[in-house]
Amino acid sequence: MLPTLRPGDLVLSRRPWRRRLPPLGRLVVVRDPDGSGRVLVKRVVALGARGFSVGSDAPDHARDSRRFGELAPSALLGLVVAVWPRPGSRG
Amino acid sequence: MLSRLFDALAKRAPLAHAHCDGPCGIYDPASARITGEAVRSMTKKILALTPPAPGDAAANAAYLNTLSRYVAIKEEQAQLTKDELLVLWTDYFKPPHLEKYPDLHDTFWKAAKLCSACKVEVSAQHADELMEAIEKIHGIFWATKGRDVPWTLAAG
Repeated sequence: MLPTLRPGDLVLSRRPWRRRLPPLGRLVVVRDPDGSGRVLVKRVVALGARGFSVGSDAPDHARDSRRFGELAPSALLGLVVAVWPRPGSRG
Repeated sequence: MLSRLFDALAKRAPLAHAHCDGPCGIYDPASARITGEAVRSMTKKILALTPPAPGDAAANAAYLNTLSRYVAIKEEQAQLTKDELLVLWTDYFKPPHLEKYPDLHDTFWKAAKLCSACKVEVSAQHADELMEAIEKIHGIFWATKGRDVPWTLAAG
């Protein structure tokens, strides 16, 4: 998610309203659909009839909807409300 | 002061990944090989079962119980094999691999179909073909890593 987020940055998110799709362009916290239980921070890049697609700000080496397709609303864990850059990470 | 607060929060915050592909990066066709072997083993055991003599209720119950267990395990292991293959296909293999192995998609598609066939049928031939398909995938997989890993079966 460079340059928006850098390794070690703190992200504050709030729980979404149940089953509601996130707003376009919003940074979101989602559950990786690969079943690993991993949590991802991504940007909402498209809204569909039944789900939403997420993309990355640094798309060259990222895992997002181009790899795993549209996400169901149930995969949405949080909407990012604040980013606190890791001290010293912005030179 | 703020920096210390940051550190304190960072220690407690759950980790979210912003990019990266499967951070473990551990893939191995051995998982599909093991479950595939279980499918073949169960298929053979089902084919080798002999129905009891008519009228022997206890033997009949034991026979049905054993048969049901074999079928359930075959079904479960075939699905696991399909899952393992799909993970390799969709997560491990990348477009450059496809350039080098143009029949990659066809190989996985047929292997996945064989998993289904092994569920639907009790076919020793399809169970053997499934193992051949997994062996082929094993060969391609380790070749992409530049490693020579021998194909070894658990079943003797």
